[in-house]
Amino acid sequence: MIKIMWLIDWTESRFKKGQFAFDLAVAVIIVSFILYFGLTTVAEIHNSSKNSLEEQILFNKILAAADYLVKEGAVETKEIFQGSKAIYHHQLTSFSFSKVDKNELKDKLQLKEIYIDFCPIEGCSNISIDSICVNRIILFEGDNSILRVCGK
Amino acid sequence: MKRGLMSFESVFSLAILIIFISSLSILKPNYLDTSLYEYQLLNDILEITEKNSGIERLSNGDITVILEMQEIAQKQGYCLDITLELIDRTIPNMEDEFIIINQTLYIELTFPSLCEERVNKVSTTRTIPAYLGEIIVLEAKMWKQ
Repeated sequence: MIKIMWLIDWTESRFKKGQFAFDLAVAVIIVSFILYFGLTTVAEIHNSSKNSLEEQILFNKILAAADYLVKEGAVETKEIFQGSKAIYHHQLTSFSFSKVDKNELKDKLQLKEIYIDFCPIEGCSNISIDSICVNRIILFEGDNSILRVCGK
Repeated sequence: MKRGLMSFESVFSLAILIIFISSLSILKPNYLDTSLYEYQLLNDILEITEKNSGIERLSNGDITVILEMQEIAQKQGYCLDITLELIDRTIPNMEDEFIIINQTLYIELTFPSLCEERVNKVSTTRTIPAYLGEIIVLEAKMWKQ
């Protein structure tokens, strides 16, 4: 009788131990899945915010380049007195634009490529290069025009 | 055993919730902050209007200047609301000389754009002296179409 009781007790304890191990295994698998998806999600978020930040930085650089061109770099100037000159911002001509050194601008802003052109006020045609563009409204040779600055 | 199961479930639910919320932030599109660019564009419109003798035309009552400004903004994909305040503090005296007196002529004109209004707007105000004693206060609001 005692032997039978011992056998029942032994079987129950073995069963309980096995159930615990199975639960643990399931939990480990689930936790691993959660960890995997969690880490993947975090990596995705990181990549996404990194790309977004890089795009914003590029946009700001092009914005700065366009602002410089419209206010100083490519505008008409006139010498008034010795050493002092009047700057006519937003007023561009072919001659004033010819003074712009694109390569210097590109190097200063650490851009791979810079593209500057003029379009009619009605709008610009699509540009082939994959880049971010900024349009500024200016007076080119006295007419309302758009100065387009693109970069990547 | 039951208590352990409960804590496992709560941790599991929390993890699922965190993953769900994180996924939502991935789905959110990344917008470029273009507010500075929009502000510059608005100032460009005002600037070229001033340089194209727009103020003289406005002083002479030619409001087509406003329509031209709105058209330029529209071509760039924006809507433009203009409010003009014309303040004239000069009245000629008997000797046809212009003197500034305390009387003020004040006219406010609003030229709303025909677009649907949006929340994100950029605005600027310019106070421009026109003729003797005449001041034009131009308030412009611009937003994406």
